[in-house]
Amino acid sequence: MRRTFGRVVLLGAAAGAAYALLNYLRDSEGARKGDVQIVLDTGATVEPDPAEAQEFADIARKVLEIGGQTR
Amino acid sequence: MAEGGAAGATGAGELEGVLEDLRALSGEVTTAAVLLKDGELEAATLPPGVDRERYAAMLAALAGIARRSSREKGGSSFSQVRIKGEGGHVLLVGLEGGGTLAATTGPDARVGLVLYDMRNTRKEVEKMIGFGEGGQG
Repeated sequence: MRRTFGRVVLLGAAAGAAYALLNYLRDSEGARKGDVQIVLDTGATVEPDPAEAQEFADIARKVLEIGGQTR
Repeated sequence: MAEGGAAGATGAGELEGVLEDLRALSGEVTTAAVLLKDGELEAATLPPGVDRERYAAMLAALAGIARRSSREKGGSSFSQVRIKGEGGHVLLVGLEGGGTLAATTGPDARVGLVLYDMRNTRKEVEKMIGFGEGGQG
């Protein structure tokens, strides 16, 4: 009985961890490093800050949506 | 195929011809557009049914953020911007006078080649909107 209870607890913990990992991966679906690249008029290549990169990605997604490339 | 824009003094029809040439040259370009500094859509080649106003507003927003980001990073503006999205890429090339040449591609496009073709098209576009060689400067 105790052993079964222990297994159920372990199984629950594993399911919880998997759920948490899934949510984490879903949340970090936004702009990834290298997704946004800006070449300045000085010739330097830079990447925007993460918050700005997310802004770029969100608007770009809308542009692609409007253009009929995503649903 | 292309939806005609408002033909202005700069010859939007001719400009759309240039954009169509870009699409023909770079088969991976799905849409292309020219925006003026104030965000006005000067010309675009868009599939039928695309909301031009919304498309222009979103591109203008992107160009605005790109300019702001460029200033923050020590430039005065951007030369080109590449944004990889879920369904493809959005590419911007800065024009003389603050305008923007924009294009979208599919997810598997050879972005470097498309940007190369866009940079080659830039001079012609600048000339047509009055900022290239022989233009207002």
